[in-house]
Amino acid sequence: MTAFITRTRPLDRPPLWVARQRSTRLMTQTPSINLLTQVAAGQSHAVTAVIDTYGPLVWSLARRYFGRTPEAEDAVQDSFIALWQSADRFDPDTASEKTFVAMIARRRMIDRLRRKGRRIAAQPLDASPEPASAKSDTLANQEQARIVLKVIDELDPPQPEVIRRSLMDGLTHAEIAEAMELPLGTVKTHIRRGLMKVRQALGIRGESVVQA
Amino acid sequence: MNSTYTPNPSRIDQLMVDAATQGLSPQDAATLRDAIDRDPALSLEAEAYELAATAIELALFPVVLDESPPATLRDKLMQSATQHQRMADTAGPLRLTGSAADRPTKAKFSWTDGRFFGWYAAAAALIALGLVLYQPQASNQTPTYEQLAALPSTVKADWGFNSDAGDKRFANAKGQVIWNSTQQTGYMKLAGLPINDPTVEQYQLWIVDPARDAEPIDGGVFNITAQGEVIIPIDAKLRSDSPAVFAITIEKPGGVVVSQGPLQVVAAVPSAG
Repeated sequence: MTAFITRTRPLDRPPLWVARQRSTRLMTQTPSINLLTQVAAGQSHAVTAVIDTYGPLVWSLARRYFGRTPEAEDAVQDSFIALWQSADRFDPDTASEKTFVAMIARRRMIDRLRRKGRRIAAQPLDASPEPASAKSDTLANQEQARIVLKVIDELDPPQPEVIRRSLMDGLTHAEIAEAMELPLGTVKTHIRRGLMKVRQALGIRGESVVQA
Repeated sequence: MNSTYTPNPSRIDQLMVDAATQGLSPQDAATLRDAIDRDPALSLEAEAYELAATAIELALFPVVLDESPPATLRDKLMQSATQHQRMADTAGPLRLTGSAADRPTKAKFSWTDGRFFGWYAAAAALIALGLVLYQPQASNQTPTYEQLAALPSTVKADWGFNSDAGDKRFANAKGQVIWNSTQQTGYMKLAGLPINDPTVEQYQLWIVDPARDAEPIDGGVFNITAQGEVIIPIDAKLRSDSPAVFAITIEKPGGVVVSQGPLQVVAAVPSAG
């Protein structure tokens, strides 16, 4: 599994090229095959490998969003079609393959829920959620989870709670505002800042349109 | 979608955050899509927010990775992947022909605008070589959909929305296309396509048959006049013995000779064997 983990890069020191150098080191520590790049190159054997490697991840996400229903299976199919279409956009310097795959799947599942006018409420799986350090996950992904949790824990209150209610409980920003008795704009600001902190910690670079 | 209105950067930034965390209404999604169309670099920023949100969700709510998809679902995934691979295999050699420049009546497509990726880009490359209309063929053999589908020699392919290049209005498109090369007859079974106003626009089918020519075959124009599933006969303008990909575009009434795309809905024929 390729990775982009920045390990211990302080949040107040943002030079991204440093993170990218570090990510290269980590990649060498956890050698793996970049499956999506192979898929983008049209290597058919990689397709099977992607399905076998990330099928459980996407299936797990689908069950979280849709439960164990036929729609969950449709969502998995949607997700993989989108993945085949997007494979050549994967940049191992920006995100781990797992996160990229999960992002594509999550996007399709959220779109599917929105189209049906349903709330985006993640549901507990029918099996007990395992810790992020599940045995089947890579060290790099475990490290990423550890960094993310640390970033969230270190956010100023009530940002951690806002983030959890949004991305763990699936509440809309308006619902969070009402539940926590905060102005909607404040909720949105907290969420944005939380995302930006995680982006900085993980070295996820974009093309900012506004000043932070 | 291409209005002269440009939302302020803060608004676009907020839409990106919303998209990453709670999804967008169709109107907001259109606004964001329009902004990204104007400045494709914005897609990196939107994706960065999405990656961060995904990383948070994975950390807060770890997935259970010890259960694979059901065997039937895995089979479907493999079948779908094979169809996409078929598109890539089909597109590969055609890219090398370079025949478009040799054909004075051909024109380049404009849908190779960077938003096509992977194997769909390969499919688009086929059609980017240009389109030519041919003499309509006459055929009196008109088996029903069911009769044609029951024939072993009939090829079948599932329709799918082309999310990278297509319009979200067609996101729910599904169904199947069948084609029998012996009878030169086929049908489209379609659901989820919006009803069109034929005085404004019509759907047009294209058949990619690289064994015949680099240029896709005009499969005829058609209308969607009702909600739900519809079955539409294919009106191919020339013979196709080995169709590889079927694609649907939206065109002006009567259809076009040279399409500007984009491909809204596509179906790749699984390779034999």
